[in-house]
Amino acid sequence: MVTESIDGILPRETIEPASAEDVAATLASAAQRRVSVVIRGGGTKMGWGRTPASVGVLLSTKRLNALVAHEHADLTATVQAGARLDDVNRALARHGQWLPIESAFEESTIGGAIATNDSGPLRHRYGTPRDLLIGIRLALADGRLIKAGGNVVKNVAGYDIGKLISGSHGSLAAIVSATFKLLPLPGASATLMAKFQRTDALVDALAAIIGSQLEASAIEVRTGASEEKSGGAVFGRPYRLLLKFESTPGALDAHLQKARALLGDASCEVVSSQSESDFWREHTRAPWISSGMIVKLAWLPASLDTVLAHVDDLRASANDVELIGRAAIGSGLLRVDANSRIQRNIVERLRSRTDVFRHVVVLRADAQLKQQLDVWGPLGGAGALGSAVKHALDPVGILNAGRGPV
Amino acid sequence: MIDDQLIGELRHRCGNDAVLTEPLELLTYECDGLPHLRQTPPLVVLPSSAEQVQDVVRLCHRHDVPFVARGHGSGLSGGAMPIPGGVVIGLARLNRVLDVDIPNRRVTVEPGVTNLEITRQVAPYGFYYAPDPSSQQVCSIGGNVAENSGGAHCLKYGFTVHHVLGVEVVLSNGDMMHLDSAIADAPGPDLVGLLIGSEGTLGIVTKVTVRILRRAEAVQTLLAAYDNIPSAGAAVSEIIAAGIIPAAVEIMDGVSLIAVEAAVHPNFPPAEAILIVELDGPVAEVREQFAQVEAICHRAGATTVEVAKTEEHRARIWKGRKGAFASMGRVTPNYYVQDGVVPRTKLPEVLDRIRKLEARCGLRIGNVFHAGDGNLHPLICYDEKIAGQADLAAAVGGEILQYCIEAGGSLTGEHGIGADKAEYMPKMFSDDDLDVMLTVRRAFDPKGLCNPGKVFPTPRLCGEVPGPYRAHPIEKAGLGERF
Amino acid sequence: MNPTPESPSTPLGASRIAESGRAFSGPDQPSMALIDACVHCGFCLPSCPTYVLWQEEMDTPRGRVYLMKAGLEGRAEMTPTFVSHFDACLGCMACVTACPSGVQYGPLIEKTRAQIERHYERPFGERMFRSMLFSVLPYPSRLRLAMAPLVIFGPILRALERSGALNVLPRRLRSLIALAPQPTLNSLTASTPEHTPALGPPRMKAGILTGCVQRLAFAGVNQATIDVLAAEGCTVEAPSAQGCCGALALHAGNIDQARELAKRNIEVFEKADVDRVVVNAAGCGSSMKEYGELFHDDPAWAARARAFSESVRDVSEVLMELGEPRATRHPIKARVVYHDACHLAHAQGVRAQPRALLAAIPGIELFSPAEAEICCGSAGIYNLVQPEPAAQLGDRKARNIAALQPDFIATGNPGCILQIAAAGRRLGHDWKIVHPIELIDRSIKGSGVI
Repeated sequence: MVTESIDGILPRETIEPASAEDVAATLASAAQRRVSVVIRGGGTKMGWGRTPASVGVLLSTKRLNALVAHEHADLTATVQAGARLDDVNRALARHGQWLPIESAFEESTIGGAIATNDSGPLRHRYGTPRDLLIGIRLALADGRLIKAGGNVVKNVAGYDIGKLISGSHGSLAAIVSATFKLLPLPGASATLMAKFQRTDALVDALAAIIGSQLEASAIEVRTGASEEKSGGAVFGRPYRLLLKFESTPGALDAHLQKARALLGDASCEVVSSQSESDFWREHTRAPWISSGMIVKLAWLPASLDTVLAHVDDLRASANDVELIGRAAIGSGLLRVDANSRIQRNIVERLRSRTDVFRHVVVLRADAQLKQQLDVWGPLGGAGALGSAVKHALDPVGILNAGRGPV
Repeated sequence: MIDDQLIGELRHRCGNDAVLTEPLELLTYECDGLPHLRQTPPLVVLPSSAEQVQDVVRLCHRHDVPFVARGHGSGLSGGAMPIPGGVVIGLARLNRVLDVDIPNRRVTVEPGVTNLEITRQVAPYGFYYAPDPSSQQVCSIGGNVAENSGGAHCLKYGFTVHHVLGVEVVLSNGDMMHLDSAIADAPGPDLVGLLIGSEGTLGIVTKVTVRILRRAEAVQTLLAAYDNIPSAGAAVSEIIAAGIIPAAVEIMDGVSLIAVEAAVHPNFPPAEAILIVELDGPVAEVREQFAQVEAICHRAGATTVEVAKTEEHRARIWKGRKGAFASMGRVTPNYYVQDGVVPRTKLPEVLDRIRKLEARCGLRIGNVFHAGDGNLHPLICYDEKIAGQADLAAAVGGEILQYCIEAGGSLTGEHGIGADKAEYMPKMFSDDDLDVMLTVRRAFDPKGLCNPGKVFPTPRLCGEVPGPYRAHPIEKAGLGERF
Repeated sequence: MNPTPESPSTPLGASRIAESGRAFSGPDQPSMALIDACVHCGFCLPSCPTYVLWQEEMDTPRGRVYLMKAGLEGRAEMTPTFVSHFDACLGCMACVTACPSGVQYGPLIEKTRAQIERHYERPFGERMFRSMLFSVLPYPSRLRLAMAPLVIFGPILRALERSGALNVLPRRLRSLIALAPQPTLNSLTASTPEHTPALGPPRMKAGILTGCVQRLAFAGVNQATIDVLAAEGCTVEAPSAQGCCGALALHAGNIDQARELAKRNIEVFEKADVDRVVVNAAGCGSSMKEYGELFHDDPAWAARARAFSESVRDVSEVLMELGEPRATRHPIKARVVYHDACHLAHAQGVRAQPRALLAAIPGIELFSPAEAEICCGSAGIYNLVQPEPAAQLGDRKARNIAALQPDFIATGNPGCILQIAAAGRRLGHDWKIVHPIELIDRSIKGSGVI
């Protein structure tokens, strides 16, 4: 049985239900006793959210880990919330299909992916978990089990409660199982990495790539980390643009050629297929295995040069700053290694520049920092609406122990 | 209550020419694209701006008057059908394109802008707006948001919900809310995702920001003629099994083909079933996959395979497909287009059940469907002047929905529940499921003024819906009488 | 037909719809069979000029058909409101092009307008104005007298109108002045040769309709038509006994007058014994192609009218039909914007032929304006009886044309020429607007750009 603290707070009890009914019963009991509930999937994001005052029940979905159904001819699958992403995709691969949901963490579960709507570089092509979700089964705080959506990829009957739950971080309901639309596994893939010494060169190359009719699966921007030293490299350089292409083996070469032509005279290298998956794993993990505060933020894709200029500015005050993001979407993670006060100033600065940055959410920070600011940032009108929905679905207010976002 | 005071206040806010009270004019608003469901509204208001929409909604809220939003009235589930004692808020005058932002690949428009107009705005730059319902020349983007519209290319590109970045919405009390502000990843529950497809029951959208896509490098379209639907279906199964996701896969049957040829003259080869497959993407990829698709179509027994070699030919093929519904008007006085979904693998068995139903009920049924995602559109032909046929057509439609549910599908793939299918919701969802949705609805609309009576069965005689008189099932079974 | 459930009555009682009254009566009613073709899909809305202007359902083809249906079913009476929505219809037939169900809106609106003309009493001023139009426009001798003062006073009157000095006059009269053609003494007195032989071996015997406004204001168009047809191997008959084709009357609902005028022309052209009756005015061509429909219920005329209609062609259709051009086309270097007259494009489906003919003239750069399918607002006498929306549509068309910076505007209808000219003047342009046949004529004669 897993016992884990959330920001140093130990839950009073930990429960590992074995079935949907058990989950529902757990919630009903907690609501009746008016104790808070935090849901744990793989435990990879326990630090995301406000520090709870106390946690009554830690509800682990570990035992709800089945691949309930894989209708490969229909390209759909139903999975329980506690199933690990990797396990699910291993099973789906048997029929040459996959669910393109990514996480930086090995133990991430389906439920966690939906609840946080977390995604990675492949979001560029495939979207986030909420884009792939076609049906959902939930346990509510009043002990009822309900479903929404269905088993077919095309369905507009009733409200899309699945979308409502996406991004709710377990504050509205507990996910029991989810149905997704799947994709066929790509025939082949290749990754191109281009390095730039100047941000304007990177931004120009990016514009050329995006303006073309190339269809990449991922377009990542990454600033260098301060440890990087390669023959006279400047602090923070080089800037990198990472392009992943997935296609038929025959077409892949054509894509790479076209991409190289558009990248001009940036230094390019192709990441060979053997080390490609390692490469991407390192890329998505990078901020998490280094120290410092991690902030998720968004920007208008065409203002990347302004964003990179800001990141450069931040280096002046911090030990280390790193940005990794989906360049064509305008979404990514910023890691800041600095003392608490400076980290706090940086968050406030980012939040004040609403002309450049939006939705600045602190995902990882030490306890002291989490006391000093609200990790979620201002939610505006959406916050009020979200609260109204929360109040309707969880009137006693047991779910997520005040960690937010609603 | 709608009274002189409310009307006066509405005239004051929106102008005299924006408030319609003449019975003759109100008559023209009594239905949308589903004419057999109608209800003459007592009042229609046509605001010209988001602020006026707010004013109208606030006034309705203050006077406890229900309301329904209407785009261009092309919907196929009666979603814009007026509410008894309620106001129709027509959004056709909110038709401005507010911002075309090519570098960030997004366009912001008012809800009355048509779907096709968005593509027209960005076409000169090599972009387009992906969701393409067949009615795209007239359907409004606001309506698309309400219904989460799809279209023939949604197999590959998704629905409205996958292409809307943000909305501005007026809630039932007149408050205006900006959701997502067109930049990715607003924290919290996905309220925009919930709003899309909520069929106008959670608020009125007054601004929409959509993302636009770069036109694919290559498009290749073919049309394959078959002697029967199962063969066409088998071709589709093989294409999917080969790991190819076409941009669009459509099948039309003999009945619909006759109508379409008469109406829009696409010059299709004679067939009992026509399969249209379109691939798009990078040239090298499309070339490779298209060769495979062509081979598969032949192997499945196509009598003819036409590959569109010119843009004109491709346009002609799509004109044929997109004109399918309305073309039925040439071969039958009335028709009822149904919209159901089944898992793709269950298509053959459900189509077979529909054929048998057609023989039993004596009404002709044309079939047009999105073969790639199992979304069927049976076109049930009838003549409303013949006593009982309208009801029979509705009952046949309901029967088909039953088949869809039994096959593990859905009541609606893209047209929405609206007024048309509210009574069937309990076949797909449990009481608890529906109760939770209603709970969420109340959080948005405590007074229940925002398009009431749509989507969810109302507590009337077993979910009866307004419209032409329809016999209660107990009556139909001869077990009871209506006095 | 099940009646609609009545809405709960409001304190106003506004929602009680007249169920006893039936808007239509007597012969020439809109046909329920044609109305049944409408499935209420709404595809017609975006191309309807009045929906583009006002965004109201009552002023859309779908809404109008719905009102016709209500009129037949006893749910609507012929009230001023009822009439206003049909008066607002331009009759441009853009809806016919857009409709996938094949609703024949043309006959429906014609019959509805006929019903209105017969059964509805218009306000006095309106009645007088319409009466004046229909007693002058279809009769060339009267029209000549009416237009004579314009030879000298035309420019002055137009300038006064534009300056606002005539704002005391009713809108309709001001519109009449703004739109009036500029005839010359020559054009008013010119006569068209009754018989013109073909150049070279004749390949067709063509009769031409000389028209009313066309004949008096744009006599050059008729001469160019004859000259081009002759150059392409047609013997051309222009019988002097012909008269107005009745288009304006028919499209405005004066169905009886239209029938009288039609009969005369059918007789005249029957006597002329031609292969084709060639028309260079879109509205006239469209009407004459409908003579069969006009006399559908008249056993004495039905067959003759049908046969006549089947021989009617727009001049661009005939030239394409003739096949290989005989006369060499000399270059004209010009940017030409081709404007689709509604009664040519929507009512007759003729779009490609004029474009093909113009594109065949070396040196011409041919353009179509944006929103080409939306009417310019001329629509028969629409711009005279509905001056406000007509002016708005005219301005919209003029802006779309101006964006292309034309040297010439070419269109196959005199009404469009006058409407676009007036709108162009409002934008400060003095455009050269011609019939395509005039450009072809100049090309054949080698007159180059003028």
